[in-house]
Amino acid sequence: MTSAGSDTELLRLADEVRTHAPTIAARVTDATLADPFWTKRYGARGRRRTEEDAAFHVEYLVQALVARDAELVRRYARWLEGLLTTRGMCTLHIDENLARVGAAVVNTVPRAFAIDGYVKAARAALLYPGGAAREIQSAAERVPFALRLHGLAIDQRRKEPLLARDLERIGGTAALNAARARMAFVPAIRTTPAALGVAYVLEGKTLGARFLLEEARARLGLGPQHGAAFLAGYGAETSARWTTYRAALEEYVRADGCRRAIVEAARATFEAFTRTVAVVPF
Amino acid sequence: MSAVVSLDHLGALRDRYLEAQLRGDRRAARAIVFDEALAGGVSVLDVYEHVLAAAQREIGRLWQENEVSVAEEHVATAISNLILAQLFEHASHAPRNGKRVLVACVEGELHEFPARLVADALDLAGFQVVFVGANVPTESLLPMIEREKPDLVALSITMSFHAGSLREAVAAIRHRFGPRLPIAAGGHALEWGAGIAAELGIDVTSRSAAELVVAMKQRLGVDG
Repeated sequence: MTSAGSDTELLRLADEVRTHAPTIAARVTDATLADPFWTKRYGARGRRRTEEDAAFHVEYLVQALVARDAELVRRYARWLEGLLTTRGMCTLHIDENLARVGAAVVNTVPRAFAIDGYVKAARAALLYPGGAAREIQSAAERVPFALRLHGLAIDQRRKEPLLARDLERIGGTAALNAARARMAFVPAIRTTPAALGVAYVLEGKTLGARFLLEEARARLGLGPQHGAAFLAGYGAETSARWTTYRAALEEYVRADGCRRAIVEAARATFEAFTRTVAVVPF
Repeated sequence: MSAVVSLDHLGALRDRYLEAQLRGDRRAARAIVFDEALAGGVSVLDVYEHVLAAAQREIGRLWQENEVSVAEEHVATAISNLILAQLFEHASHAPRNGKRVLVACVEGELHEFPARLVADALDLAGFQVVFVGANVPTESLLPMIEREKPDLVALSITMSFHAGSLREAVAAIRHRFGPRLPIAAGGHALEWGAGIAAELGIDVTSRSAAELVVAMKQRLGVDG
């Protein structure tokens, strides 16, 4: 890891960050305690502990910055993991905390932007290197979202098989492969808000497609079994499924907020659709 | 290490010593070190490294993993301090070699045991040792060096959290006493941040007390 600047400048920068450590710790603590989990879990101690931990993280990041040594924060992150996961926290909490500390350092002392590289190194050190542990770790971030969406029977709402069936029927395997090759990337779904945003576009299209189905039937002679499975959507259940989705969405927004993340994911999905359709020659 | 003593044997002694420490059983810990290890031909330096230091490291790990509390760790460390003092009485001391060494933990560093062990090892090897102990403020270290006029200053640092103190101490010593006064540094923090010793131009580093004794003899031109 390299950083610009001479040793003297780095030491001066380190001192500047240290001077602001209380402000940084307070910012991190406010951001952390915005989640009621911590106060419920640790009570009033939560604030003191979070501030103390943040001050430690800042000092270790500063040490790495001055020594230009990412290995130091990698070791620290793994040590913290052993220390805190045996005291009721999980690796994800440490990861989130390190990210918050990094953001607070850079927001408070913008000149210390190089800290960000060390934050990334520390966070990367929390990932298992490979094997089953890494697979579980990667899957873990999707678990809460999968659980939440359980009520939506997400497996019965997949559209890709319907589209594939339509394309194959209309243009054969060649058409299907050509479409797959042109498919624009939809946003990565890693969080519940992202899933709800993507689903908003897909479910909304399913609802609107009922009208397109009539057009496709009249003008092209297509039907649910004949190239218009996607447009047919859930058939007679389409309205009911939309209602279920909308109820889940509203309940989620009421409980968790995250409106912006949902809207962003929906917009990105819509754009991906537009880009995909734009390159399909008609 | 003595030729007759295997690492397995030392490992087994360490495990039993650790168990005694965690029970808070001073007499049992003492018996393992004196009646078994030393009586069985283990050298004092091997007891330092493979029994006491190894057990202390393991206690650190057990604390990290929430297996022992801070209070239990203190009880265990107090036992190691007691054993260290008794070993110092028991061991044979090499004749003075005419060199003075000052041993101190950097400012903020509360882990005193490693520095104490190193101080004893150096003393047994013939050095005249000034042991300053834990958490020595740099501004207080300088006049002590002035007064004691050591041939070498050895700084101990366990937690990388205190690396800033190490930098500060080295810079202050260099500023005040120039390059004539060699500086040694050791401790767990140097395992985490291997680059810092080279970066600061530390003259002597080592991973164990036995290694340090050899390296210091070389650096200060002491025979044997």
